[in-house]
Amino acid sequence: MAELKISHLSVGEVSLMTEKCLKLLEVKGVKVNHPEALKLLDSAGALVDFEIRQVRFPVKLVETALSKLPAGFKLAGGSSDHDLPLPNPGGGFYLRTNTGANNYLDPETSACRELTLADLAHWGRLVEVMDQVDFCPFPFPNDVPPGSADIHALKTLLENTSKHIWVQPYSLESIPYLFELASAAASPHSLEEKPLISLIACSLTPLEFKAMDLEVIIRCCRQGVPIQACSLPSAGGTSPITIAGTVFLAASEILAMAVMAQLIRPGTPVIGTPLIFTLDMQSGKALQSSAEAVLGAAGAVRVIREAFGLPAHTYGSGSDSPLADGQSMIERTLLGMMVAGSGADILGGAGQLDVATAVSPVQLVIDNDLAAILKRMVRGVEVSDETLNWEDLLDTPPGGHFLERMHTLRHCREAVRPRTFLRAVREVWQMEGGKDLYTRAAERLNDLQRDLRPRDLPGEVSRDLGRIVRQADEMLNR
Amino acid sequence: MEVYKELQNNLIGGQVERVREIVGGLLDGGHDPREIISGGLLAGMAVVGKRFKEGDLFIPEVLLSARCMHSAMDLLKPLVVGETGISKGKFMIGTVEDDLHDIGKNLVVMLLESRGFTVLDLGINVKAAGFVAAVEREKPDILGLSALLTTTLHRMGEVIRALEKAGLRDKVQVMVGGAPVTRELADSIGADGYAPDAPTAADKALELLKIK
Repeated sequence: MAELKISHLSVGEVSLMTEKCLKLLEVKGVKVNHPEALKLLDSAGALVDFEIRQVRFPVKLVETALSKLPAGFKLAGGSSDHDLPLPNPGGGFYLRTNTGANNYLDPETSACRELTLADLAHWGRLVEVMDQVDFCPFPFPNDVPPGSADIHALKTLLENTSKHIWVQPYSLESIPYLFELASAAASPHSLEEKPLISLIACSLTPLEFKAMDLEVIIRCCRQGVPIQACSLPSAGGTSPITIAGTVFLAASEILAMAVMAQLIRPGTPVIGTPLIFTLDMQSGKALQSSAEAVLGAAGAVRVIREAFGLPAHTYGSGSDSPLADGQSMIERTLLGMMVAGSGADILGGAGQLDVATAVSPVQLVIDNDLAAILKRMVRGVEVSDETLNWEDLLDTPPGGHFLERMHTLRHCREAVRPRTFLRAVREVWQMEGGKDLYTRAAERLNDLQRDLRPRDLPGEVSRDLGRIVRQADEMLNR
Repeated sequence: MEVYKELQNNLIGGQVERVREIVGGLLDGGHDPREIISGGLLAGMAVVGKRFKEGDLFIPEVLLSARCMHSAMDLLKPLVVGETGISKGKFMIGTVEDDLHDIGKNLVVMLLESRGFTVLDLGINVKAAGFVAAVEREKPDILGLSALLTTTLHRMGEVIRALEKAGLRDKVQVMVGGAPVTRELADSIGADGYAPDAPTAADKALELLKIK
């Protein structure tokens, strides 16, 4: 069965871009602001100028490093039911929710307010019951000590979802506490055996890395935790305004991170995570779902998968609109379709609005349905004796129908049935209140919210998590 | 003035070399440098500003016009005794501590300069003490604080409190901005102004100076 394949870059174009990525890393390289990392890379064969902290990677070194990437790995859930093997044995993509949003849209009024830790706990419980959402990073809680906000956030998610958690550290100093929380939750397994978390390592575009992100890479390498290597260029701002230039830069930065990880510890799992933005040339606003950003995301997915052999993860949901309105639905559908069709392994951003700065639980409910549609789309159409239904077609007379056929009975439950979409005729819809999509999704949210509950963690784990957060509060907020 | 029309049009069109040629020609023709500035350059930039607000010109085009103006000013400044009259005010800006992002700040700097502000850029990852020392030294009309990360927003309040402690809070107006910054945050920390995006920062700065 052929899968859906959307392809806007030719094989030749992907090759050209790959060649340029290799050349860029060899000729220019990247700036690395982490003394220990510089020494490790130097020992492993990279060309390091310690004075200006610039690292260049010979092509052969890059090729050897890429050959050490693991053939497969998993993102583990608190419950093994939610483990996510990569590559996905069933094909298709995994879906994750927003990371880092600091605003929350009220389900009833759509009013925007600062996100709280209580919202975050609720979000985790909602993710738990969203059947299409596979893992969950944390949005930003505004009502906790700022120096340990990420530690509070991770603890809260560990307490409320058994799905894999993608961690975004907020400071260099947070990193040990984040690992300690995850280790406590994974116990008695090590994080290498049960990688409950994966971490963001992010470039400082263009072509630079902060100390924090190399620390993430080093810690992940040492503890066998998967790295989600992110590049967030904004076309016309921190990267070339042309789509190809932005994809090229993002791919180069991600390649650098993948190579650095393999040089530090061969076999470390890495996911390539280009998050493509374009800068609006009128307002200066960064956009995640402009047509150009969508094309960029889809192109970057191709390069990262086909040229580097990395699983690819990018925004496959989300909108530049501040509301869950028509613009939001158009943008996230186009984005999801292009990115899923380009073969992305992970689609990110479910529930997010306003260029990833706000989350809406109602939008999440709609995105859950949209993901089911997209997952169906990428499976394509099976053509076989069974699906062609040769026998029934021979047998059915003019004016006949298929409703009572055994073939129909066998397949009648296969179609995607988005819960928030209308399937009734107009009169019935009007009799039932004439509700629009948002209202129907809000009602579904209310239904789901009746059964939400936190996880039942062992007492010792809960105590450990509490202790770690208290220590972080004290040490990181001085 | 008609005599400066060609200068204005080439400035609006971003023709750096042609602008310099025209300025040179006007000076050779005996035109007063201050009149060239006001009738040619400032008048041209006023049109640029208007067309930008109307959505007719885009940011890179505005920046190119600003480059024309700066290039022309290199020729004219040495010939003007005293103030050129071109600066609308002194705007100091920096990204707060622990934040290394500067694209938004740099955009604000460029747009402020194009609107006639003298801008002092302190760079990124500036500690509160650094802002205080710079305000004491340079005495700007407005201090702009930029942040891109939600995790560094609390540093903005720290800067304002540090200015209060140093007895400088009433000597400078403070504006805040950046992707995660909201009007609510600005009000809660006692900022004088807030701009939701780079294009409106200059308008807000002008507004603050009028009510100073």
